[in-house]
Amino acid sequence: MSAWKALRQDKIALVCMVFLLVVLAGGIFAPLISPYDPLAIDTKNKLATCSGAHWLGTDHLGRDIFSRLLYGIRMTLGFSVLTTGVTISLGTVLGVLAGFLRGRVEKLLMRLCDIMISFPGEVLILSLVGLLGPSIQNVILACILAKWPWYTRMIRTITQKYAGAGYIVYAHVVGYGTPSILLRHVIPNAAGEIIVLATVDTGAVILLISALSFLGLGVQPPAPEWGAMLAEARNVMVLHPWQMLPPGIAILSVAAACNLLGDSLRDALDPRHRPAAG
Amino acid sequence: MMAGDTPFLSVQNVWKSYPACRSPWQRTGTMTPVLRGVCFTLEKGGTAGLLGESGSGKSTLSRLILGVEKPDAGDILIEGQPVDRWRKAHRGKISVVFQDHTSSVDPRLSVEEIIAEGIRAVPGRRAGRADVLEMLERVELPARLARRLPHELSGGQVQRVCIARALASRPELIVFDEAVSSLDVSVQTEIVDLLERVKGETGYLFITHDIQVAAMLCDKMLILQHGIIAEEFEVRTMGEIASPCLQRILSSTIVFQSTFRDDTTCSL
Repeated sequence: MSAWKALRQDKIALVCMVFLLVVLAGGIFAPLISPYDPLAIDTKNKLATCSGAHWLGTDHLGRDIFSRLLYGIRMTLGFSVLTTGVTISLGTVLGVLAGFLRGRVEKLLMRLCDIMISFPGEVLILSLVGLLGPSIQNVILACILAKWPWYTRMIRTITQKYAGAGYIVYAHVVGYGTPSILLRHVIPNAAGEIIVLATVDTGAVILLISALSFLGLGVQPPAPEWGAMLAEARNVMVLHPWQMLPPGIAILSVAAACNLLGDSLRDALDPRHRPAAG
Repeated sequence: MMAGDTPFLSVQNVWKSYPACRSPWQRTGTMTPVLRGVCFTLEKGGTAGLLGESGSGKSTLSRLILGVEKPDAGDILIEGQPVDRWRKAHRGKISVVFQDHTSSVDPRLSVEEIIAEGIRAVPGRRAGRADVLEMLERVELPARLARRLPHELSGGQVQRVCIARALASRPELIVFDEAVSSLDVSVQTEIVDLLERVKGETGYLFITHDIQVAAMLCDKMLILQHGIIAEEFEVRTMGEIASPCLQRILSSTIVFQSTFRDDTTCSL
């Protein structure tokens, strides 16, 4: 496919993809790669600096930071992808319906979105997690509840942009049904923009889940999660500031890679940006 | 109703208004009427040119005839049935070519797929490569373009693809909504030549503001002015009509031509 060709020619996209794939592989094969058990406490060796035995040192309970970082990929990246995936799917279904069917369906959905959007996102998430109790399931649920109206709105606007196009009117006039038009023209054309939204937002969700775990609302100790690791490192920040670097840099680089990849995808998925085939 | 005396397309006293939207908080209230009782008929296989200035309601009328929008009052009947019912029973028998060729084809689909969509619109028909190539040949496009994407073609080529797609479902009526207006003059002439050959295979309604093009392509002429059909006549009797609005349209064309000729003489 030529979108793939365009993406391969983009150096930044290539670097981001390779980086994310390596991170993903690190998460999947964490039990094979990690030198220690991420939960094994070794108080004699606590707050060790980088060494051959502990590549990134150990934390305040003597747990190997590199191992925790690897297992943390499963939590941080896994939960963010899950959250974004569910939110985008929900937003796509509702947004496409609202944008294409118009009328009462659209009015009902949009007023519902207006109500949800009128609360500041962070306040909504914090109060929902507070109400349901701090745990990662509740954080994911709260994120989905707080984010679906934004997606529904954006995807509705994207859909409307395509719904008026000549090829949709043509398909309608010659007798193609709504489901076939949606599947053949609207969703594939909107998919580019939706994928871009998803990629960029995965970065934002990584930050959000890490932030909630940092506040103690998300992943509960002793499970290794980057935001929670950062929160634990903060307690010893004055005497051992390097403790914050591994989880901090990990969050930063994965979120940045998602954002940059999203930008490259935007260009690659637009057929008009592709070089003409000879 | 008897099938024999029912015209193919019959537009009966059609009214359509749009809300006059001066500012976002002043929406409800006055409506601007665009069509105020349009009446005309078109025989099966007949060709009519619908002329009008910008804003006269040409495109609104085309959307109503295609069944994309519904009239506020009046009926649009094809073979005695309301458009949307007729359209469901006769898939692909009414088709359309738009002015804006950039948005009238799906940018992701190749020429082949675009034309195949037209062929498959008729239930039970399959679109093989041979069928697509046959359609390409009919609109005088080389077969090598079949795998190209729309953005790799010129405006005139995309418009030919649109005509091929419209013809592919073997329609009984095609609405050409300003189909040649956005092309430059030389390409316009080529497309008009192509459409002259289509005449006789299918009936069409050719919406335009260019009386010369309409006179070349159509048997019948309708002039839409201020939301009603101000004039309706056969093209071959055009010289005998003494209507002020036709005279005005004709004189503006002739003035343009004569100045053009003067310019040429000057430069020689």
